[in-house]
Amino acid sequence: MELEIPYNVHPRPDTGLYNAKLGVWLFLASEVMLFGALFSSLILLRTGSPSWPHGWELLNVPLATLNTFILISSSVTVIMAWASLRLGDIRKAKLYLALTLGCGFGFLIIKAIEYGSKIQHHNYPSTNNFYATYYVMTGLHGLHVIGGMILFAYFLGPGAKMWKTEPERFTNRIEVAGLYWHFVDLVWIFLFPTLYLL
Amino acid sequence: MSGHTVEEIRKETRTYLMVFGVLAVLTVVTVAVSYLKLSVGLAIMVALAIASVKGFLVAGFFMHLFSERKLVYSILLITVLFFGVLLWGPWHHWYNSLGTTTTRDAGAHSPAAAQPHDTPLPVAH
Repeated sequence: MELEIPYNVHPRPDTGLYNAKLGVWLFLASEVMLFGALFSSLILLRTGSPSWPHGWELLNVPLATLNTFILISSSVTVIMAWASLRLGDIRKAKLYLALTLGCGFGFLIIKAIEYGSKIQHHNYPSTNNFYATYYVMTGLHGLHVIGGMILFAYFLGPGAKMWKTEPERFTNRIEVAGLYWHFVDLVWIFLFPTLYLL
Repeated sequence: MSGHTVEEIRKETRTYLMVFGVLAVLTVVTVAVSYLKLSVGLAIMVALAIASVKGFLVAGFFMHLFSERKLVYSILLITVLFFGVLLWGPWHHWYNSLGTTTTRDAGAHSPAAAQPHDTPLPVAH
């Protein structure tokens, strides 16, 4: 006998949310604290340092600007995938998910070019506090991008089978994956000016 | 599924595209402002103000926070409080250093300023 997990599709009467959505919001709250600790450390290091470079002097602003456009575009494609599923159009949803995945790849390729250039010039995390915070914060953010891409690859591939049997649950899965992805976008929105432009 | 009609969902998607347009424009504005070479304090305020507007748009429209359940708001309220505590730490450190020997002046005496390999950082203007 198969045990059905409750409140995967319809909201729980007491919370008003289906369980996955509540779960992802709690997870995102913990993520705020994780990145918050890093931002807090950056402020402490910067205000406590006798000198601190402007990000634009050492980092590649045009590449990071391009990455910002890529990431906000991917936020739109993932929400369009969700909207397409709500309209019952799985083909369009898959196209948008593929575009989101492509944006993720694009972001990582550009990040790899940036890292490659820094390493070529012997600028490592151990070089100074500026590069230490740059590598840690963008590296952790990059890991989150990779995590999101694994999710979307799954939903494009084997995970999409659920659409045939439980379309509403699949739609909810895309919604919560999208919430995570928007958070990753949100973090970058603050990382970009903090590290590159100030 | 979500209880919305086809027309309502189509209207939502048009809103998402408009928000994307605003986010793109604000990104250009952020970069453009950085070329104005404002003083560090003003540059930080302007950059964070623009980032906050962008974050507000992403959270409000893409993450549907404008029409979310009370429980999500409660979770976020607690998160914001703890996030505030995290930021209070460095602010308190900076505030305490005002009017005395600042950690900036103290330079290498500050543990936070210690460089792992004595590599000098380029001086901010």
